[in-house]
Amino acid sequence: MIVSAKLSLLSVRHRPISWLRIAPFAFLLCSALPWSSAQAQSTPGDAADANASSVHGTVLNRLTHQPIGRALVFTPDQQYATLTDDRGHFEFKFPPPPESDTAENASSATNPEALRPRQLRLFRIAQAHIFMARKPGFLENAHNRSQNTATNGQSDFTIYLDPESLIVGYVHPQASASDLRFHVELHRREFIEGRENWAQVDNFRTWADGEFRFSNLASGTYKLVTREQIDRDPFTFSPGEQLFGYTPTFFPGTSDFSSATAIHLASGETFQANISPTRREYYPVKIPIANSEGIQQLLVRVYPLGHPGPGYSLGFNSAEEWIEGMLPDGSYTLQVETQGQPGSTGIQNFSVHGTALEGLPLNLIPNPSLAVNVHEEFKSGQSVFENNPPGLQDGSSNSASVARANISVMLFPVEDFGSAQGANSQPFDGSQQHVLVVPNVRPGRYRVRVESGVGFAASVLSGGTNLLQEPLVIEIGAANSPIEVTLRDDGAEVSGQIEDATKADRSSPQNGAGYTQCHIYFLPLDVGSGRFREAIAAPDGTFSQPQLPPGNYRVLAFDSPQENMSSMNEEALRKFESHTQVIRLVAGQKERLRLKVISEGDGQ
Amino acid sequence: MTFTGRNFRLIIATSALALLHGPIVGAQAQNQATSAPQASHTFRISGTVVNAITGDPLPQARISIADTGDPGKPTSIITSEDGRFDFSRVKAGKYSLQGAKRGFISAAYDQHEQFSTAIVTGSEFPTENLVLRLTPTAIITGHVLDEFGDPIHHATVFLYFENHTGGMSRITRLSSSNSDDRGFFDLFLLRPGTYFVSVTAKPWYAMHPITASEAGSNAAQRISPALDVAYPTTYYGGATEADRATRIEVKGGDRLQVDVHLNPAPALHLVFRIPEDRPDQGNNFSMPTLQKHVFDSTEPVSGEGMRPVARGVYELTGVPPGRYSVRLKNSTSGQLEQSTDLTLVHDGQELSDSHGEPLSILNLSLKFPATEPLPRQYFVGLQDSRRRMVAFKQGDASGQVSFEDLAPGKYSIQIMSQLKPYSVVHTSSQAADSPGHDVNVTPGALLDLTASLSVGVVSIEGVVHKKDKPVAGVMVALVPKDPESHTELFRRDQSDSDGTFLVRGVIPGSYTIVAVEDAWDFEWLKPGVLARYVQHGQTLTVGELMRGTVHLPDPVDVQPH
Repeated sequence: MIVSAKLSLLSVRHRPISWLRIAPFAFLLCSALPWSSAQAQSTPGDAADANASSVHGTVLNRLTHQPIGRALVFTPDQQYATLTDDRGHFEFKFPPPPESDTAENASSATNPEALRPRQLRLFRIAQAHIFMARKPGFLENAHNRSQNTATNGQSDFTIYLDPESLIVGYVHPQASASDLRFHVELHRREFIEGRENWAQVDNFRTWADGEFRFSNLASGTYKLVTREQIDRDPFTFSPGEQLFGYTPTFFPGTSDFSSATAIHLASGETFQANISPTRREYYPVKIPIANSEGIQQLLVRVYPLGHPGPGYSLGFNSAEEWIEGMLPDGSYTLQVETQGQPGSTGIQNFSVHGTALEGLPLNLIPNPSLAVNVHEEFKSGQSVFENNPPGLQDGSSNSASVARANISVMLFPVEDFGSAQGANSQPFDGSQQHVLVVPNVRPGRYRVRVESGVGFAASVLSGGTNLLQEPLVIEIGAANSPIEVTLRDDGAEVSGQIEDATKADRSSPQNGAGYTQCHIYFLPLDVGSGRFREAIAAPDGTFSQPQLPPGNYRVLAFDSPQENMSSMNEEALRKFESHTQVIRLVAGQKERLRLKVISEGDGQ
Repeated sequence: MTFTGRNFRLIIATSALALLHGPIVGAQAQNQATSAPQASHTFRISGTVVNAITGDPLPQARISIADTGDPGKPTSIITSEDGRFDFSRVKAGKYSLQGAKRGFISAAYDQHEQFSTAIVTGSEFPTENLVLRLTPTAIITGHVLDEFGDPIHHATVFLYFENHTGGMSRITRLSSSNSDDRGFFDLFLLRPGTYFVSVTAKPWYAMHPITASEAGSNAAQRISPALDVAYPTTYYGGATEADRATRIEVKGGDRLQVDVHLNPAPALHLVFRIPEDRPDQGNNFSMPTLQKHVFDSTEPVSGEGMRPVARGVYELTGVPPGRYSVRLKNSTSGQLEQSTDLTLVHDGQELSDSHGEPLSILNLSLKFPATEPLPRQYFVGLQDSRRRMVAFKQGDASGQVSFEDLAPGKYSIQIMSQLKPYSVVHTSSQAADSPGHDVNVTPGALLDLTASLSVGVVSIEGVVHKKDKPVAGVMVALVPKDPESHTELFRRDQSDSDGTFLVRGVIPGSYTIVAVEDAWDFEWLKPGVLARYVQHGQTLTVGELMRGTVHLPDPVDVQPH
């Protein structure tokens, strides 16, 4: 909840400002603070004042609902902190509110232009009155979702802490290697823009006995890999003779990331994973860089051909201007990138066959910048391009000529470990106002997403490829067509009401009258029709999603965020059939829905 | 022989302009490694590798020999099940012998510090049935626990080692480890010796509100003092200052369990005020930094950082009470000041009051000997009386090196170059000329100094005798005049199996050469320790114009330790 409040605030700049987007934030203020939030911003006086308010609550284990004693409850600004008692209870006393400013809080914030400064101020206030909790053995707050559930008008909190999960085990190489410490990497499946994405979240250098421990993990899906390691056992290690190394090994014993077993870790679970890396002959590899003069640092990636993933490594010798290291027999892809902008990239495939390899020189080729032509087909006459728009002044007098665009074209890598890296468009400084540029695009395949402050992207094309359906492919050194974006503002609008909006966080034994923030998902029914969208309901259960691209949608409402919603398959969605509404939207249509909320446990 | 370092062939002096005194009657160029070739015969180097602690033979150890004249081409074999190794068909010569095995510290034959005894074949000295001892590595494991006996995750565990090499004892940081969720840590591949373990960590529940806010928002009154705590750096044994830390004696192969218990102390709130006449310079003002003396080093202390609490006033929170060294900038000159040692125990204690002496600047101009090409790469260091390198800079072709923010004190100027040793023999400034390498830096001084260097290109070889017979494994030391203050002129070696030794890179000057039995690991650099050996040693003088290798005609007699 805290995280989403921050996100919605930060995203305002490029997104249409709507009541719904700030809903979670407002909730914090309205429901978490029984007194006026604006009053809380003012300087607190003596805490023992007779009119002081108090907040009390309980910290519970989300899994067992048992109270957690000796947990720290605090505000992020370190203004308030206390430990819970044996029954998990805590209490804070607050000074009384001053008289001013109460009306402002009560007023609805429907005027977007007046909203931003107000949001910033409210955010600062809320900082002081967001309650967080921590305790060893439970997830750090950053991992906690829906931390506080307040009851209506009462200053009684329940803070849930998720018990940590662990992945522990041993690395026992197939040959005895008691002195070797292996680096174990932990990768977690995450969802960016609703798409699966693997990211390294931790690494552990094994203890002397080969043990590794990843603790403080959130429930989720993980993969483990040991990084390659040269075997320096004197029994076999002798400079000038055949060298050996342990190749990267993915749990439970595969050689590439895609075939590694995904560990589905439940909250509070400890998963035991042992890995036995295999020892193989290693050979020196040297690949000159043709044009690395003056370059001190290069990012070097190497992976088995066709199997991008972590584990292998080569380094850059800037004095000799070559890439060097050791690898076992096999075919590999080498990716070399310079840092910063404008960057350049070099890619080469090579093979190692039982002997030292000196490869062909690798050329670094400058990364291209992509032009984006924006075509506005707005009925309203609005534009996403404007000079120094009101409400976004930064106070500097020389910013008047800087073009701003209320549109963002974002590139997301399709592959997890390839050369592609996320990139964002920038307004084009010049007279051609309807042009954006995406600078420094590395070779690879990308999903393209367009976020427009007005309307929606009706089509996104590049050289005949429909980028709403197909990935954008950037070949190294090849010419690239501009991206053509057509914006329209005749999207459909879906609004409605969550039935039983006050359906409480039912897992809470504390009350039945709490409010749970509802997330509404619009899932395109067919490929090429409609676009995935997420909306958040207001405290009264109403929601609205403007400018939905025409198409067929499934609409579902959940009482908590669903991170993998957009990639859910038919079978997974079938569980929620009774709570799902299917709508067909045409341009300009206004649709009203009543949705049943799906809670944790529904559809199990 | 010297075990480490690159071996390089000596240039044989064709016109050795020897300016020798004392017992040396002539200079003779000789290459130690290729003496008395007997090409038609081959010899054998053989023996057993044993565990230095248990005496058990060690199978599957890798044993290498290398001609000391050509160390880049070693020959290696693996020991048999009974720990035996056997290099047959070895040519006459002098060979280093080294052993390595997983779980053991790699070592050369009879190794002490970086010295060992080379095996000489083709002479009457034994080369068979040698015993090469390898010491098993040790490991320290333990848990970091809090005041309730609960594990502390993410504690940083530092390992310190008492180092006796180089003739003096110094305790320096060796490695570190981070505790896992069980509070567990390990420190492994340790060699025998004396260690210390310290732990730093932050209580998981600690909150450090600022106390002195002008805004009146006094969070400290709302947060229980029980939460405003910090763990002092704690040593194994419970001490919170290094000088009271418990020693951990580690023997080869030990597996020691060392638990460290941390107890919270009320965290201090320290105040720093920017002087009133320059409140607007807050951004340019460098905040005071806290350091702690830890054995023979000074280490930075990480706190919560300085937080502004009022105009020109900053508060440092989360600092446990203790003895600290505070470094500040002088409020009027802006010059950095020397660290001031302070005992910080009171809340609200002002760091601004801890003024020390102003720091100084030393500009050095180096004069390299004209007879030698300038070294491609060299470094200049300033060493204090405890032989701590307090400042260190890379030099360039100009020979100009500048040290800023230098604490007042007496330093010796040290020149480090990989290929040849250099020594500062004379310094001159506008004020004074003085022999030697010392420089006295006064508070706030701006010192311009010219330092004249001498280069060591002479080697001295000889043989160590005990009762008229060559003896192996003895420490040979070339002791300069005034040894305690000229450690860079010291040269040492260990006698090889035929009793011979070779010291390289000798800087011109007067020396006494001594051979002392069982002299390893004692503090011979302590003032006065060497005096009794020096009076029975051989004196010699290496002249400025000498080159190549000097052979001592008379054996050096071993003196008992």
